[in-house]
Amino acid sequence: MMLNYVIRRVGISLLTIFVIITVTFFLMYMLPGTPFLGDRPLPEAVVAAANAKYGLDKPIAERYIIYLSNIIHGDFGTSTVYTNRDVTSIIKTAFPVSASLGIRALIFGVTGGILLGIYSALHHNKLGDSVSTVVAIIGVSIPSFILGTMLQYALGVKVSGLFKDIFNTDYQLFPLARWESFRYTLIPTFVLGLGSLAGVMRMMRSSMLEVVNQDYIKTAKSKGLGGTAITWRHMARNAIMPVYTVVGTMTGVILTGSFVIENIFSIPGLGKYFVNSVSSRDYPMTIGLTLFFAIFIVFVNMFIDLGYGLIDPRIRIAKGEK
Amino acid sequence: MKKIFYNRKSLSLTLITFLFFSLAAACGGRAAEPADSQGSTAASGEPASGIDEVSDNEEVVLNVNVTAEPTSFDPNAGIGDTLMFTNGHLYEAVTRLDDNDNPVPGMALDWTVSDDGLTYEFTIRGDNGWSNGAKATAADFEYGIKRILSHQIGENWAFLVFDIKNAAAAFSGDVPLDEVGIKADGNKLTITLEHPEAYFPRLLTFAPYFGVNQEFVESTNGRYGTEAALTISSGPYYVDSWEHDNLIVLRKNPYYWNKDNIKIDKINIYVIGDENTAINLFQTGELDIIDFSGEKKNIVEANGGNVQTYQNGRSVYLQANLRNAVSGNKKIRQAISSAIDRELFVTGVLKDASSPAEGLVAGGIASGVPSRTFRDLTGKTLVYDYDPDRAQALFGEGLAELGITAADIELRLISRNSEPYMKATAALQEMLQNTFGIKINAESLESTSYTATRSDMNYDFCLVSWGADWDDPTTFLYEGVLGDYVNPQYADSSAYLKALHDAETIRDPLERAESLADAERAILEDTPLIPIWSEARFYAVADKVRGTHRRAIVPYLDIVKAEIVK
Amino acid sequence: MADFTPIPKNIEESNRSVRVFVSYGKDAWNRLKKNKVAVASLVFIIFVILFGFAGSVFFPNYTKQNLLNTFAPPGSPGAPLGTDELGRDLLSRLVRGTKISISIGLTVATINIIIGSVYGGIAGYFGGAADMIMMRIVDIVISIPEMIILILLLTIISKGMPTLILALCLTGWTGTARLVRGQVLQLREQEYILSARVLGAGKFFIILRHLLPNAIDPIIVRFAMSIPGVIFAEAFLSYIGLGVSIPDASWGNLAQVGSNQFPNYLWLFFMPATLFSLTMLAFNLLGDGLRDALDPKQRW
Repeated sequence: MMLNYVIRRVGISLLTIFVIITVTFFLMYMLPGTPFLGDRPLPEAVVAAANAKYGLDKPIAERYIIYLSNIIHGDFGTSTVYTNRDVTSIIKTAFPVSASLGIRALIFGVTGGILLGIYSALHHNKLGDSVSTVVAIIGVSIPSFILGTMLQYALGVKVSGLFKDIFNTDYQLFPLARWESFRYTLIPTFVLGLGSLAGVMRMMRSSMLEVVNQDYIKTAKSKGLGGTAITWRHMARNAIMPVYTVVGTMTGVILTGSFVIENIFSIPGLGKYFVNSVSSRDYPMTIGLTLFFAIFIVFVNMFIDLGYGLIDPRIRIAKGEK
Repeated sequence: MKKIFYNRKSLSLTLITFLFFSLAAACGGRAAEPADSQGSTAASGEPASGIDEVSDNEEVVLNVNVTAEPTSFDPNAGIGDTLMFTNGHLYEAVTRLDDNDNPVPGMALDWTVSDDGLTYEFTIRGDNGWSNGAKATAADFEYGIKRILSHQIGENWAFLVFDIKNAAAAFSGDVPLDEVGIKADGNKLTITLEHPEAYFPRLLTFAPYFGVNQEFVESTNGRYGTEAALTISSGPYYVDSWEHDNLIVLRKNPYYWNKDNIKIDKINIYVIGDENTAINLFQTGELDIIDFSGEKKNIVEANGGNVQTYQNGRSVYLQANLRNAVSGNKKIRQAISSAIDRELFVTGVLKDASSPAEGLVAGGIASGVPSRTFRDLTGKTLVYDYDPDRAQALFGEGLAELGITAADIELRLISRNSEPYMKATAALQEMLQNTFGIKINAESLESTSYTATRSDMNYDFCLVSWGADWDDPTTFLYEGVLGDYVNPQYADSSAYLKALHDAETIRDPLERAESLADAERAILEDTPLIPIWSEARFYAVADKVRGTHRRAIVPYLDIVKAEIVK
Repeated sequence: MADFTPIPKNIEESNRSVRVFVSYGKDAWNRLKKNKVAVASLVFIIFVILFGFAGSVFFPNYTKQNLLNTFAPPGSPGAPLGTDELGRDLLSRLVRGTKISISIGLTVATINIIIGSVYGGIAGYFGGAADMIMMRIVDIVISIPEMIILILLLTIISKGMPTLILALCLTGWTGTARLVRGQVLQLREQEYILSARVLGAGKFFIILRHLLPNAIDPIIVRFAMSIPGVIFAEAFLSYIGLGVSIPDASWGNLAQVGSNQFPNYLWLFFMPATLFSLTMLAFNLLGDGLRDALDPKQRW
């Protein structure tokens, strides 16, 4: 019965992905301009040849069919900007980096957020609450490009410089850019994850506060259940629902929205390819990346939806009703 | 009421926090393999105590950056600042430019020109080798050109080699490839042109004219230049490794003919897109050379950096849409040209090393006369420079001709959405609105929307930054003015075209330059383009690095002669 | 026995309410007033709104350039907060930026909340196939690169505030939809819903009168948090050059210009950044306060 459900979900996910690609495909080609326009006017013969090479001289319906059949064979096309490089090979090199950054940020944000949220709720309206609230709010208040620029300068230049002077070494305490070892990941992860941390914290806190007043908590307490047990087994588990929903959205956002961070810290991820490909009308790249992310996000959502059933039994039963 | 059992809870909190950090630390191994993170350090990842102790056994390393990932290492694939920088150091062209930007032997030992200026014969050296050991020959150049013309690569830039006889025809398929005017015979390379071009030897330093080794290229099955292992070089350096978007490592080419004069063993080219980041890296010593915009000059200087300027051969001008009533009116255009205070623009808006335009051709571009730039030689040809009274007078005349008032005018001004063009547009909008009491809608458009809008001529004025493609005034006077969607009216102007072609038949460089200057004056009298400034950039080089050279055309930075001193 | 005297039996007395009846709204408002932090935030927000709107009347000239007086520090004559890279008065530009950003933020957030709530409410309540399809549509909207939609809109309709608002709305309602749907999924199994259905209440009635008001707490938190999100989105657009048109100002593009100059001319960076951050802080704290105030279970 559960299996039935899973199969149906997978089928619908595939359908969703199909719609996403189709819409993106047609939207991309609606954008004005072609990849081959430049400041220099090109002779017609040149433009024709360029279009022919990338199959742009065919009518759009035909292009669409060709594209779909290529996709099924795993061929996402060749980038119009990066001569002769396949979209798939670019994704293979760049995605692990973006994913690494994203996952770290997510872990940092979610774990920190949940803990701070619980702490905050339990110390409601006391100093602890206010302090953690403010700290977390800084995460949502400052745009990443501002925070990133500041931290890069403050930690990467000033603090690291101080470290070098004090200990008379060349060791770069906080690397300014790039993605080489654990040290390099610190500032970017922090900046990227701070927003999620704040978000999760607020969610968790408000949801915990709601749960705290529920009758079943009072019952548990009157039964003599200890603080930690109540906090974790009862409160957190119920409070986590909205957080769970939000995390689903966040996953997509973090993994795709790291463009700014990747730019400032020169991290060789996918963000830049994504943004620039639209501007340069690199059709295979944009559509290929969209497809890639779509597959990713849709399946993540599917797992989250299935997870709902695990966390909240009422939903499981409710679904069975249909 | 809500009694919290601090002990148990804080214990679990601590436990979880600890787990979290250990998890994060464990994930440290998932980051990319630690490459040579500090360019000048030893392989252990810990920094050497300083590159000052350069012994004969230690590698001499230079750290530079590019602002974007090079799109390919295949030179015939196209042009672009980053591409030209990397490819310019990987391939030995027929000619090279010396420190005064005069063409000198590269692969060619010497060359002769026929009397009609159409045929060049180059004697190609025999002592240069590709980094895989193969011999570098004249045939490489013929192959390179024919690759482009047979649509194997670089279609969008093919027109850059149309100077060669029959190239355009061969590209369209009208003429077989062996009738194209480039022939390699042993160590002789003969090139025949469509029209005489006095600057042709300079043009050969331009990437599409680079030669590639046929055997190797064909062995890569269409993937030449996409990875380090799929690229070989005939120039001073070869690509040792390429981590995409991250780091390109170049090493000295052991088969290079001039390898004994190449002082740097290894070059680390980092891909750093953000200017602030690059400046920060320069301050910590991780980058040896940087290039940046005006406003950061004081920061670099404050940290002991030696800031210099170079002209990058870009001329920035307002291009008018001659089809629209207002922008099509000559008096109005002349009025606008007279209303722009270029001095103030440079000092107040740009605040960098750029200079007010003296003509259409940018500063730093060669004139053909050895060691003298065009601007240097001809001085100012800008007819309608800042003159507020004349501006008002001309504007009044223009209004009268059109039969409208200032209040009727609403113009669309477009530009790219990058700096400094955005603030320049804002400044121009304000300047012109205040001077003439007209309304200007300024829009900064993203890259392809910008080119599409220009192509559709959907504007009244457009702020254009035209970079030199080759080191000669004709790159501005010919290409810049006469381009298809740029100025269709001028494409028909036979007088102007004739003047340019006539200039090409003049053998004496000084006379030719003066003839081109006349053509420039003629254009600027008509002002379909209103020049505003000639770009220059700041750069800084670490004290220990000597011998880098900057020029006004790509590659802007030439590090072939660079060396590191103690 | 003499210690105790029976209370006179008085029907009226015993029926008298000790506690004054207060409506839900008034009660919430009272509680909010007691929360000093929330009140301070509300006051701050009102001040910011006044700064932007009333300020525009007193400092209307945000485009006037003075190329001879660029990057003037705060306290310069004629420019109390300094000038920017084109010599424009920073105070006027901040005022203008406040007006633009607040307008965009409030408008987009409101529209998104309404669309998202209704959409999510319907999806969550109906469940099954309708829910599935609706949520998949949400997935599709999220997955299509925003950049494409933005550039498309900006090309078809020219740049400007309405286009920006439209673009931000088209992609922003999905988060709320998801959230509300999750809440509704939880809530609809509650007993009072069941009894409402038994009593014959129609589906939309239940969604509007029972589910949404009870789901309102996270919706409010969401609203308070989405305003900063919208302004962030606008800041991101400015960062990549797609924000408000020249020569307009918004917090996003002021902060972006300031961060380009960093660490030069720090006031250009810190003034918009601080104003921006404090306002966001205020919205969040207010959201918290509202949440606390509106929760009927916290009545005491």
